[in-house]
Amino acid sequence: MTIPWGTITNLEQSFQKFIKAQLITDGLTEVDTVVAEQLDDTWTLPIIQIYVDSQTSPRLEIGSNLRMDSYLVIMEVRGRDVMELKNIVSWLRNAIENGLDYYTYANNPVNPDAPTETLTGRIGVDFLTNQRVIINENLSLIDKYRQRISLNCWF
Amino acid sequence: MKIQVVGQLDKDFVRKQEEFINNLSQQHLKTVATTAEKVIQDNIDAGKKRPSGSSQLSKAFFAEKIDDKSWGVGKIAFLNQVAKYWQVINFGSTHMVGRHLPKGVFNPGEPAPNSAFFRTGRFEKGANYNGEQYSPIVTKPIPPSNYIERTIAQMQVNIQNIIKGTR
Repeated sequence: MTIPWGTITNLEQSFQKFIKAQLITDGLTEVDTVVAEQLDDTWTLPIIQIYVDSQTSPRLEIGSNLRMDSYLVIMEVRGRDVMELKNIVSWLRNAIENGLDYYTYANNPVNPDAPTETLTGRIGVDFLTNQRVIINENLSLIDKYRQRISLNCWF
Repeated sequence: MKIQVVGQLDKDFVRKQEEFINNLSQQHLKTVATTAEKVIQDNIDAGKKRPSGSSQLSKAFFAEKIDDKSWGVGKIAFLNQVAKYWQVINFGSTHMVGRHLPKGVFNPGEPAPNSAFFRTGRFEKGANYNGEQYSPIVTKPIPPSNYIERTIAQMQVNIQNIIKGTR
């Protein structure tokens, strides 16, 4: 059985596709991107971690059951030092603030690693938080210079 | 639609309007704060992996009036005292990986890990099982629960509804 791509995975891939393309355009090829919720200590720094955490669906108007689907997207930038972290965060914020294209993906039986993508719409972005993650513990490098950007997204 | 005010306004009109708006905004603020308290507590409790916890973290978040124009939920100084792991639970961390937990046992369970009791009990520090104790080594990072960001996202919706009066 092949499970079709859902909205959340489409959203995550759309974000990664956009950020990867922007990194190449701006010559920041050293910065890696990953779609994952759980940390993996094999990641190479600097890295931008992206995942959809949950969905919130506000009513469009009073008394209506029509809802606007919106999603909480978490992006964590992990750098090797404070300066690198600040610069990537600043770049990332500017890169995504005007939104990005939304693609839907479908399984490609011929080449499973290259799913078929279709441009479907535009993702709107609202910044919720943008803060350094400081945990007062003896941290490994992968956790030491972290900044979290959380977004409310819709399309 | 056209609205026309005919005649002279009551001399207290502006003051009464100010009073009305102040009272309404104070009511809204209080409702927003108490709703945020409920939402963040629900988000924390929903992320619990093991049963029968003390809910110490969720209870540490409560709505508090700062002055007539502001309320807060989650006082950092207080959190750092009574639930100092609040950041680790929200953001996740690798800092415990490779470290030993203090000696104790899983209850229900046995000193050594037993898959039959996976997530059915809690680790009790200092307790023993037939005189035996176990000191587990943490192998996986603490996953992020994002309860703060979830609350902020949900409150954006709730604030609109509170102001609309549809809550």
